[in-house]
Amino acid sequence: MNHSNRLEELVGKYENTLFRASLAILGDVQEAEDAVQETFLRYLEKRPEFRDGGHEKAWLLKVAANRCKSVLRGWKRHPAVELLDIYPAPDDGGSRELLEAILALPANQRAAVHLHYYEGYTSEEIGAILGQRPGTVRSHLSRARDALRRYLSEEEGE
Amino acid sequence: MKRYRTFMDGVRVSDTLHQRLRELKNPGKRPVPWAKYGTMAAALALVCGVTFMMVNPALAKTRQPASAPENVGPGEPDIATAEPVGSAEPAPHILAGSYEVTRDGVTTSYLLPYIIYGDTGGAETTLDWDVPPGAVKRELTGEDIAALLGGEDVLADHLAWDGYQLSGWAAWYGDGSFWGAYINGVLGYAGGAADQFEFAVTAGQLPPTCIAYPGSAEQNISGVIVTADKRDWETHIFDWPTYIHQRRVSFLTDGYGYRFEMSSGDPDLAEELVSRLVRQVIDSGVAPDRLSSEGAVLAHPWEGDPNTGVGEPNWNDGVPDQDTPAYDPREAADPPYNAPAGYTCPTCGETIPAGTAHDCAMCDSYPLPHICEICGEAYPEGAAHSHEACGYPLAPDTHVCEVCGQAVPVGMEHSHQEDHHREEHHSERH
Repeated sequence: MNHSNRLEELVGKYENTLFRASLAILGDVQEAEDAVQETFLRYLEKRPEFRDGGHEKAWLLKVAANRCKSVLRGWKRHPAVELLDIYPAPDDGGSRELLEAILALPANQRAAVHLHYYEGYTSEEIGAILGQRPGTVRSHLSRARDALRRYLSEEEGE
Repeated sequence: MKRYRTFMDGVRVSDTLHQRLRELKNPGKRPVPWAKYGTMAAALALVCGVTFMMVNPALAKTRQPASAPENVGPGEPDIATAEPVGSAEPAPHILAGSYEVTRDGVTTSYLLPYIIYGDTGGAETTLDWDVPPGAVKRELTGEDIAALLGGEDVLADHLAWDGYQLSGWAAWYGDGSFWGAYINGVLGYAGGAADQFEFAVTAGQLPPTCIAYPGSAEQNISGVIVTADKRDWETHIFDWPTYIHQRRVSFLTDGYGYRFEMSSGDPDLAEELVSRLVRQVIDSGVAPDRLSSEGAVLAHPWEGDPNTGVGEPNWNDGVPDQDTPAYDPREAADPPYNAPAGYTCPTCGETIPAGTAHDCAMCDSYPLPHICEICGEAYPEGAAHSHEACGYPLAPDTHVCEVCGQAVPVGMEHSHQEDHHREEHHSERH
């Protein structure tokens, strides 16, 4: 398979995964799109050999997370456009509040929450992706859970 | 989190982005996000150029015309602009971006020099070095480090060292004049893909190093010859691939030699921090006169003993206290922790407090911390570790030892002869 086809395959497979993760970390659509584009460009530059699909996805997520960290580092303020104005939350009496609470978390906690609860990674795997100790990831998850406890207990009760 | 998953399932890339991604190519010049800010960047560069010229005429002289950021983004070498060393006039360099500092409501933009890094190709040479005979040395505090570099605001705003754990030492000649200083910064997990750097400054010479890399690129930045090299390698953490990008520069200016080495999982970040350091030091230098040698001790306490020479100590020949067993730093992780008073690690140059361990095998220049297996928090030798501090919630079936604060699962035997403390204690509770 040539590189062009390979890229097309990877884009089809992971563009949404990378975009969601970047959006979860940054909360800014434009910056998240740039992070996804940069990630695939980095792939084209490095052309890494992947052991399997898991390795492939983790590598791409790691590059995207690094890109997001760089963006966060340079931010003086949060994005002016509200994410939930672009992607409205389901009108089910609670989703919007939960999402607002998640988006209000610090970026490192949002990253851990997304990779754990959405992508299903363990704290060890998230640590490898974000360049953090697994204990630090667990700590982020714990603090995020504390902040979101009301919403989580409501969901558990459903 | 069902609602979160439902919401995220509905988030998809736009058709425009999808098309853009499919058409990506590996260009010589990457279409970095700057491209979309092209016009704005050009205008900004013009404004920045004027502002920067006012705050820094030396560097402003070398700026590319205002359209530069439109054409080339950060991390984007344009070899055509590489300037041969020794040319009479500094040639213009492409910028590596800019950053802003706001003070008292006034925002100033600072332009970053673009640096071309020679590829070392993985080759390296190990060297030995030491501080000179008769030199005195002491650890630097955070205040010392800030004073040396120009203040806390310089560390945070100009060098972007905010959040880095800083440590270091300085040495003076026997006559009290400044010899040099080494500063380490670590962000995040030291055993993994942490961002970390080493900054060194020495009077009148380039700072000695224990590893030299061939293949450096030389360039003239504002009249200063800057040597730069890079190494990129892949490592594995928990069997996951991690790329480390190391960027290093060294240069001599205004009577001082500098070396700065930055390692990060993000090459753009590594290069930005190097560019910031180069800009700051060429612009403002350092202030070693703000460091006092008070409290410094002889770097080689065995000097004057006829059985020893200056250089790497031989603990079997001239140790001040013959009752102290030889201290092999490479066995530091294995008790007993018996570093003699005033011991300086010959590998990394760190002065090790008496009786403590030092992880010289890694040459990380700081004592081995202990890592809690439950929460991953690092804590120092001899200190109790409480999970109230790290915030990790205890599982319902977990006990916390009231003597040392360590959390252990129910039913597990807990002994205070564990590595993290050495009290003779055994809790019946566990």
